[in-house]
Amino acid sequence: MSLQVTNLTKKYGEKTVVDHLSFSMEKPGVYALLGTNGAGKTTSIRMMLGMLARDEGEVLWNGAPLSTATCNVGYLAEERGLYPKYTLMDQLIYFAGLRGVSKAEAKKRIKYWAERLEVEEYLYPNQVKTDSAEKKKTGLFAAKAPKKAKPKLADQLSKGNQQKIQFMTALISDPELLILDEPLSGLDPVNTDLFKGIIREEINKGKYLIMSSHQMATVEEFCTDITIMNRSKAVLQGHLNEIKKSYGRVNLSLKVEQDIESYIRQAGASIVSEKEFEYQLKVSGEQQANHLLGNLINAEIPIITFDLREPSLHEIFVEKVGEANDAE
Amino acid sequence: MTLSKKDFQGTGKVFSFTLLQMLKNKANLVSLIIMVLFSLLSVPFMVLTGGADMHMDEEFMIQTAYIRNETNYTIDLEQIAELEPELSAIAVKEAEFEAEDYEAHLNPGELLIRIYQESLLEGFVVEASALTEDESESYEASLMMGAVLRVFDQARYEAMGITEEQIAVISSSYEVNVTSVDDFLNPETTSFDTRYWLQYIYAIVIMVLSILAVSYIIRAIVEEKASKLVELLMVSVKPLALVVGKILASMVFVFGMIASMVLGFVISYLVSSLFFDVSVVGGIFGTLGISADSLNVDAPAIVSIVISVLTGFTTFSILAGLFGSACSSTSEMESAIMAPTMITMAGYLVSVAISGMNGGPVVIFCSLCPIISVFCGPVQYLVGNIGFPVLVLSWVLQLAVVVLLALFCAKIYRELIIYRGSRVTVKQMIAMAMGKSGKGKVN
Repeated sequence: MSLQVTNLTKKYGEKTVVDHLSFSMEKPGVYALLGTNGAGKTTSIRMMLGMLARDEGEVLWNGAPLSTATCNVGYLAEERGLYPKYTLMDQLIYFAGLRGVSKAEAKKRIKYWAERLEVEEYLYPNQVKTDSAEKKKTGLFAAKAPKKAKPKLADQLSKGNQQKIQFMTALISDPELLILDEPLSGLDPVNTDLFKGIIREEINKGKYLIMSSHQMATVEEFCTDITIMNRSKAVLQGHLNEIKKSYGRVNLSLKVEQDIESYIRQAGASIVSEKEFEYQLKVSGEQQANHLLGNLINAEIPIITFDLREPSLHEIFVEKVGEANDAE
Repeated sequence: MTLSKKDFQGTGKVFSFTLLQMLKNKANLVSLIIMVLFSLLSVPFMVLTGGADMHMDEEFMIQTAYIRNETNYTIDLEQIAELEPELSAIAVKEAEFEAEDYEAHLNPGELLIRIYQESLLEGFVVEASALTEDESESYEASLMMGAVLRVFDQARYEAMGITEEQIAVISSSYEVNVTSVDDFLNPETTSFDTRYWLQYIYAIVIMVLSILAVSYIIRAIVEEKASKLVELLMVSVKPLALVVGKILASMVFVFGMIASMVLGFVISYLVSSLFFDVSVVGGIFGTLGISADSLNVDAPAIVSIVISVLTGFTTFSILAGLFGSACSSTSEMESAIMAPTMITMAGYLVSVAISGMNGGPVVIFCSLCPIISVFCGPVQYLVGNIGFPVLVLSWVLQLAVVVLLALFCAKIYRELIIYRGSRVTVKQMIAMAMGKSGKGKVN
């Protein structure tokens, strides 16, 4: 299986909002679409899914145009919503039905994902209520038979729980290609871990994932390949590790017990930040870092931390977008 | 962009889900129940306020009528009861007491009718007295008075040797008719009242139906857009299928509401006829000049009405879909409903304005003009102002509008439905269709 996006272009009148975007996924994994606000990420995803007409380009899945007929797609949109006044179960069965999942199968999958995402009490309020009533009955005073709880409506859920239901709608058809637009935004740390765990499972199942996010740490955690977009154009593309390697190890984190500014200047490195003898330095490469390390050892300065790294995705992103803006 | 079968895939699922949710909605259910209750109670209400009587074996208020004839003419008391079958249960007797003493002699349920003449130069007086006002002003008292008058008149004519035929000739009425050459050559097939009331009632029903359907469609679309669900749905369904499913569900719901009301009215009529005289219902339409005899009502006419209503509804629904898709939030819903409502109102007003016309080029033009023809085409056909070919041509023109609107929608729905921002104007929609607008850009 493969995904091939070629020359995707969208214009509104004279304005080009996506300019010849191309990328491909030859094997399962996570592809990240990164970019500043208004760079064209969401428009690209919408064109890929056929929601927006494209002016140029094609999107192929296994050589055939990508559509719901050729590929089982799951999509978590950036603008998330649910019908506020309809029951959650009705909505999920409806969404599953639209994706060709039968009602019986949808119910099974909803049950699984409700447990997995810890939202059973909202989808099966009577079951949860009965369980707690059973516990009460074992006490000294048996409780009255519980009233049948009304099915929950979407607007009765917290934002985080609504987000879990929305995530279920993306997963319910067991998609081959999963497109997640800002999947972790607005989640608390506990639910972030829950979502990450599920994303990891989907990757392990051999799914193709396209992720758009502003959270660079998350992207680094999951993605193998990236495209950075700025003002409708792709400004950097490729395998994340190779991109990082191409930058070399230029970030040096150094912790000592005294002021070493003179040694740093002497080695030709620049200080990015300093706090209580803990320095974040920018070096030209391994040679310069080793030279500084040698000088510190010779001066018998105790070194607590010496960590030489490649630049983070965040730094690459800021640099590339900045370069592109300067060029314009 | 042209329409294809793929554009409508998933319509059925959207339709069934939307209809089910409309039926589950408490406000909709309450409205439906209230409307059905109104229709169930309508016939008893009309009968009771229309003054009809219960034709059960209830007792008459008057059981005995005393006649005191103080004139020189002899009247046949037995003839009085024979004139009105409803009076057969009332005993008619000669009063053997003075009229002034009636209170002492009358019992409840008894009536005194006195006929006298003050002087030879003055007319005759017929007056009725009873113990209570209810009795003296009762329906039977009024019938009895009419019968006594007729018998008394007959007695007077017989006394003068005049026959009934002579009286009929002398008292027959005459009518003056002034006819223009134009009216003579184009005689009215139906009365002004028939045309006016039929047009008025039909147009009001269509207007109410259209406005209801339009508001349901716009609400369904805007609520979905405001809930930010459109993007999720569009992965599985094409925008046209999404809108068409909603339009069909809203139309079925509104037609279902109307059908329930009609069914309620029929049940109400049938059940009421077991207890009441329901002829008052037909009488109400009769006084408006509307009856099956005065119209071209037959199976083809009913089919024609259905076709006109469906083509009209399709037009209004597509418009509602367009205006609904142009909104992004529920706060914009009212202004979105306003535009199709105004179009509907315009159609209604024009149709009522031409209702008094007895044919002519204006009637034909309005019957052909899309939107207006929905309101007046079928009625003008029913009253005989336009022929069947004109009606068919009005459908063709209306369908052409539907096709043009559908093609226009096909061009812009995809971007319009995903668009979020301030309400899109008609001008912007046209620019969108021509590919000149930046609407729909979301990032």
